[in-house]
Amino acid sequence: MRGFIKQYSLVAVAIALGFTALAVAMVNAQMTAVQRWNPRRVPADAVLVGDQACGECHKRQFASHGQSGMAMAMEPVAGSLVLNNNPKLSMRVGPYTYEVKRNGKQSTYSVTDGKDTISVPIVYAFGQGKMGQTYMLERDGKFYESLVSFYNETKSLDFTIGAPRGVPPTLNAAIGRLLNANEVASCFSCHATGAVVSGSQLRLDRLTHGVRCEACHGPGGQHIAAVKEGESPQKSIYNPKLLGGDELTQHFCAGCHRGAEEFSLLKSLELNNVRFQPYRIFNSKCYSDDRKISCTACHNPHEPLREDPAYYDKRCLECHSLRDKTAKVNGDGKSCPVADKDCTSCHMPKTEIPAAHFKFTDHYIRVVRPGEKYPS
Amino acid sequence: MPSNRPNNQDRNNEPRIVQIRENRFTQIRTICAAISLAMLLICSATIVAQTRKPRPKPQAPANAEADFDRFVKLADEARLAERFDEAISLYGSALKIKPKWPEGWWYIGAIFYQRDLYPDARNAFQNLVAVEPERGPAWAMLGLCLFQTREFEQAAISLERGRSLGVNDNSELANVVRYHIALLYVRFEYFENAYEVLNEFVRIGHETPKVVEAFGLTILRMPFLPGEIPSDQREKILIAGQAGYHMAARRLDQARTAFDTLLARYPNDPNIHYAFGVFMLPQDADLALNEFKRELQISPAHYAAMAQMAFEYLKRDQFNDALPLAEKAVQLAPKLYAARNVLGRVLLELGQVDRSIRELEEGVKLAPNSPEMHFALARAYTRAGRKDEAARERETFKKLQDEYNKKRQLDKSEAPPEQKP
Repeated sequence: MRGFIKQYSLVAVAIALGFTALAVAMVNAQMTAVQRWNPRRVPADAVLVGDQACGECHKRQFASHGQSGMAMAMEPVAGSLVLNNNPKLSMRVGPYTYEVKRNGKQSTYSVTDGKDTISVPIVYAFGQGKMGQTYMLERDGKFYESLVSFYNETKSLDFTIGAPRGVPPTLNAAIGRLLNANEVASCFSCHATGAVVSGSQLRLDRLTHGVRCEACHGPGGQHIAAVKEGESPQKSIYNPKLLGGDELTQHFCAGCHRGAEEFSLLKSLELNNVRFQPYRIFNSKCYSDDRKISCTACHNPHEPLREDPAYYDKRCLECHSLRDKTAKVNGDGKSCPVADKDCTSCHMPKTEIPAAHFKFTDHYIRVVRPGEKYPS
Repeated sequence: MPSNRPNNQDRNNEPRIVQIRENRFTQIRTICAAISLAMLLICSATIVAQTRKPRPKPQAPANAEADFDRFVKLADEARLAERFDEAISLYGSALKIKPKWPEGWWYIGAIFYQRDLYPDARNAFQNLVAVEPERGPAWAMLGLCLFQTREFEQAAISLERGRSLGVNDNSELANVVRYHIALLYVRFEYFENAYEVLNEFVRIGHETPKVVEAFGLTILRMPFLPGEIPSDQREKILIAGQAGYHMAARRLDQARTAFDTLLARYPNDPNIHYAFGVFMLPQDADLALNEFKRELQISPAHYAAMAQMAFEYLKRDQFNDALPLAEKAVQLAPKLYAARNVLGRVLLELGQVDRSIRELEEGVKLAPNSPEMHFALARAYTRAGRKDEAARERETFKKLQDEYNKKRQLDKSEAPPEQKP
């Protein structure tokens, strides 16, 4: 009898192991079947249908996303609020005078040394203007990044972040920096939708300004057709919501917002890197693969950025408890000994980059004491 | 010269009793037995006493101490007066009295090294590091001696140890060590490592003909020491060195000019298209890919070009183009961690998670200090649902990043003022 039980147990274990192996294989098979999407590389044969088509069903997201920072990451020059509201901007650097001037639905960027003048139309305006706006100029078939940019805080021009802050050696150099093919592709792949295909190949004829629905979800045509046919909509569209926390933060969002690995290659230690939230949050003690600490735990990409600290307090309390242990919150993690609200004011303080005329939220979550040095 | 050696001649001349009468012998035997018993008792008592009381430290006799001081004084005088033979002899005498006197080994080693007597210098520094294993400059000097005696592997180990323990308070020695480590990496065909080390010269603005030449060897992947360079290759190496130095210094226009000269003069030589491709990759990836392809036409087994192409295809989501190149690179260079890295990443994207983890784990074994390897492995573990291992790899990545950042801060403080940002 004992021998029979032993034999039976062995068979049961073998069956269980078999099921486990099968389950693992199925998980892997499912993973390979999940549609892959790289927001920065649109395949050459992809047909984008545009936001309006998405908005027919996803009305709420369509309405709110249009007001978000991502949707306005690039402004069409003809309708640019920044350029319309600031029709004449000027700045002097040594012997050079810069001017950004509005004329109807066009804007020109010019620089003069008093004798000669270079004047070019602004073809692309990068940035929504909340912090500022930088211009891409086209001259002799080549793209340049404007040496000076608009800054919202001062409502004026100043040097573009990263540009040399000195007197340019020549009038030609004073325009701005000649961009190489990779840089041009890099700008358009993060500030526009559909403009970059394989490698550094540009398809500006397909460009839609800003990061629109299909930038993150992929081409919508097949999805719309599937829905019309009554098929499951999930199988025909990419949904970043299905990604794990780390995959979402450090790979998907970090594609543009820059993650920890990119910094291990860039090897940059400067204050400027406070702008790169996935990299900063990765350093936090509480960072993990958990979606509760991923980008979308606090930010809804379909909505404008929330500015009220109370909104973010609720996100913290998903994991942390209040000092009053009887209070009803989701989190059972460590409570803060100092306060139950305005968590971000101490743990994610805003850090000013003087050159950017803007304070960025440092996403490296930690206890920050007054006057503490920025940890690079 | 006094000696501490026992005098065997005296011992051999001890008088012997050759003939002894029987009764006399018995009497002596009895006395000896009594003496032995007494000695045994005394010894036992001594042992017991010694176990109870701490044993006093042996001290050099007062006259030995005085001799030592005298030898040191005379040796220092001789050294400062550049009477080096005499100085070596006197330091040697002092070291016979105190063999663990570190400064003596240092001075003897330095004098031998200065006089190109490298095996003797090596022996002296070996004695020094045995006495003071945490002394960075001693390891550095030992490494330099081993380099000269062509014991290259040991040289690399010693130089790296010296660097990690620190020679930075002596910038001249730091530069010499850095240069020789770079040469050894070139010699061992670890060209990427050599480039990293040579980059440090760029950061501190140390542009010398020797450094440029080392850049040339690195860029052209030629595993020569400077003395072994064939004369007909010198010009090419010099131009490549200029290209490499400008590239590292981000003087892109000057680097491009040097590369254009190289390509025009040596269009079919190996490694030139590869080097140009590496230079162009951050600027124009399409052009870089074409250069790597050209390199593979010239050098079909160029695993580094294969790995670079695989990385670029990975970046472009062209996983099926990347896979055969990454696999071939691993096959040709199984010890190249970058090849394991790219193969593991490509496999992960293709959903072959288990195989990906195997490649990345192998890569981590090959390059345990590479942050990128740990990051990639963390991602693969996450994909496989191995959360604890993923968290561990992320922590290692952070730790390595912190170490790197600290090193960067040190390098920045070492840079001359005009180099500081």
